[in-house]
Amino acid sequence: MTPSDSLLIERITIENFRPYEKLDAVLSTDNKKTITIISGSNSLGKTSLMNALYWCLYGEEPFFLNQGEGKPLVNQKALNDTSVGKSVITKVKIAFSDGKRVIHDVTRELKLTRQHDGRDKVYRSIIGGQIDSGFTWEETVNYEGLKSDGNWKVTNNTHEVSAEINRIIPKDLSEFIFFNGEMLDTFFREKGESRIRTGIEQVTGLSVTDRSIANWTKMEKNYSKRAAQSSGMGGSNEQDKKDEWEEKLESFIFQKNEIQKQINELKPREKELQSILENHPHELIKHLRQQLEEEKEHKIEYQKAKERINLDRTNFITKYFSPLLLNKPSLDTYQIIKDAEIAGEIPPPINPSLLSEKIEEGICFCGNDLREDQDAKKNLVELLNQVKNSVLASTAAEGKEALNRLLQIPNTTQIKDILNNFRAEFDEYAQKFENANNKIIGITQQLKDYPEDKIRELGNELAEIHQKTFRYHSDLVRIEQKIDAAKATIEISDKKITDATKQSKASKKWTDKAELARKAREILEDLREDLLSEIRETVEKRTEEIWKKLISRHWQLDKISIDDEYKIRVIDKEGVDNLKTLSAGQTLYLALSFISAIREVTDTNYLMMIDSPFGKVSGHERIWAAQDLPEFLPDTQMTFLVTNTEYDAETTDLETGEKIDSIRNVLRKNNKLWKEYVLKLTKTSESSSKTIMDEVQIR
Amino acid sequence: MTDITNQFEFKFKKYASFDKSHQDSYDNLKKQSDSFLYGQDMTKTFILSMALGYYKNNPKKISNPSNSIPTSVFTTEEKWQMISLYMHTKRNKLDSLYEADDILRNAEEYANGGIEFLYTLYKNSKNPIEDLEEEFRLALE
Repeated sequence: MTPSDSLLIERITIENFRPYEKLDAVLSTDNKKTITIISGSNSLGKTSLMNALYWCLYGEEPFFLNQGEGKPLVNQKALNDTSVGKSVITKVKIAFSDGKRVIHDVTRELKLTRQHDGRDKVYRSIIGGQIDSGFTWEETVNYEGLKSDGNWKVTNNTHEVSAEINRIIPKDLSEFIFFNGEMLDTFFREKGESRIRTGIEQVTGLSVTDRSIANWTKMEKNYSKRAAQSSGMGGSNEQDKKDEWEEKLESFIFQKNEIQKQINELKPREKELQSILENHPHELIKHLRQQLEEEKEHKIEYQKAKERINLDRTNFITKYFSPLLLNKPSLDTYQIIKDAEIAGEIPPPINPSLLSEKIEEGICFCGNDLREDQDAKKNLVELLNQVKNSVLASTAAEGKEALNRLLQIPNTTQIKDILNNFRAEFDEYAQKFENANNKIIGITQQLKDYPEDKIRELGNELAEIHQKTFRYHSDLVRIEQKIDAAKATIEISDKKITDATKQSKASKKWTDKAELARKAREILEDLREDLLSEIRETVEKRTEEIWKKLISRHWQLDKISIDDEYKIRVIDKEGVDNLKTLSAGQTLYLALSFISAIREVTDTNYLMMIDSPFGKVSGHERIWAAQDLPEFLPDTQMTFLVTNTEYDAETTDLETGEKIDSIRNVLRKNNKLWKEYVLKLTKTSESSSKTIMDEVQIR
Repeated sequence: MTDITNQFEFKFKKYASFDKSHQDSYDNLKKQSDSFLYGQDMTKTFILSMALGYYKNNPKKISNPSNSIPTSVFTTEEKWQMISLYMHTKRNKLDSLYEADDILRNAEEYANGGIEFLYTLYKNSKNPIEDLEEEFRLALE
């Protein structure tokens, strides 16, 4: 089934948008050669080109991973060149074609005027970044569309333009049309399925049915009102009361929806903050604190031990160092004294005073009475004379003792053991401290990505969200009570009105009409439900068919399921959803199958513009994708924004060693390439440069 | 009463010296908290210097004596280390003990040579105690 309407981009004109001063690109409207390649190195503006298109249509730039790093969408050089009193205009124009002629023209312009040289840089969401505070701005958007009568509808009313754009490419489906291959991994996992449903409802004309249902509801009410009014005073008064309460009910429901909206708006951020804070390692921080305490204790212990051991070690070394060095002289001297003693040059070391005292007392050292033991007395007197005659005796005696002490040093092995023990003891404390320190370094390393201040800030933000949510929920309960009360009052009024109108002949005509209107509304509602269900089933069936065709050669995967909310599942034989484990190539195929199915359901041959289509896909999957894309989407205008490496590189299969061709060669071979453009950077002055686009000859 | 008045007494002159040029070396080794001789008596520095001067065989004459270390504070062991060094390097006879002044001068010269090594070791070291231990271990070999 081929869609009957085509929506292609024929021409893109850009002025002063990010790296582009001027760019005029014509894309393929040829229904045979459908592919246009725009290649360039990283940072040359491929993503900016996608953003330019999206900005033109919806006033947003969703394709930056980091919001354009805070730089404004206005070309920096043009902005810098704008003097006081002058203006710079950023403009993106898209000419849509049905394959034969231009059918829609959308132009968005942002005019910045430098009123003065601002002192500060300020963030302006409308320009997507920071600019000099001296600028004022004005944004305009213009739509020109070919009507069925051949005339052109022209409008610059923001709401009208927005409605027209949503009619041609609903914003909720836009990400299937302007597709970022770099975000392929998370594409289906992070999609808001209800948005897909809304998008499909918009393009399948269901919104027209919705408007009809609303009209019939309105008619039913009007007829009922007329019936009540014509039933007499009682009925009429009751109708007024009912009107009043219905108005109140409407206002309560509006309030409830507003509150619900506020709660819903808070939810994603709440979820995001919870996820960040759940991952935040509270336990790790607690552990770090314990470790820091432990480390502190070890540090004190280590310092004390270091001082004590060093003191002991120093005392030991200084005590034994000189005796060790002087060991030989000491030993020699000791020997000299001993030899002199033996040679009788010096007597035994005995104090002469003590000898004199003994002789005078008449008692020998051994206790004998010297008056009776004359021999002993003689010996003592001889000894005294000998000692008295030896002037060196006492000094030698002192020396012998002192040298003996000096020579009593531990032997080499003992000294080494003692020194080694000092080292071992020191190392033990040092090791404990180092271990504690290493643990801290380890934990700190793990905590590196978790700045405490930021976490605290996020925690506070979450607490505020919780407070707000709690407040909103309380408000919600109150408003729901009011709604219930209003509904009950309306129900009573309804009953009274019904009773009154039943009794009145004049009311009958209006009651019958009201009944008809009710039936018409109910039939439409039923039809709407059936239609929706059918559309969903068709999308499911066609997605699965296309998906199977695409993957059958490469993988064994089974069923696609799309539920009422358009949530996609890839079910295997065991009934398990495999969506989360699909490879990048499989995800790309699934996205393409889904888009194809939607194209058929909406009967519109949408264009596709893919940034980095093969960036996340590797090996053979890349080649399969390059071969299959034009084959299975034969009449779809495709514009690929590719890096040079992604496009030109020939690789080798790591498992088989088989050479894998480049995407360029594959696409050229299958004769689907219409044009290749290459983005280049050219210097405009010493300090600035701009991106330009050149056409490459396809040989 | 036996006469013992002619008993010999070994006695150094009142002060031992180092060369005044080494005053800072002695002071720093005593006063710097990272010194291996922090808070020690001058005599200990003197004797260790003397032993190192002997070990390195580097006696040096003193040109400008400090006369600042009271010899009365040397311990008996320190005194006999000086005597031993003299007997070993000059006269290995017991009657060297009559030459107390020469013994002290000899000790001062060796200490004068040794203090240079000791202070250089301290001054040039990031971890003086560790480096002293290394010297100690080398001497053990």
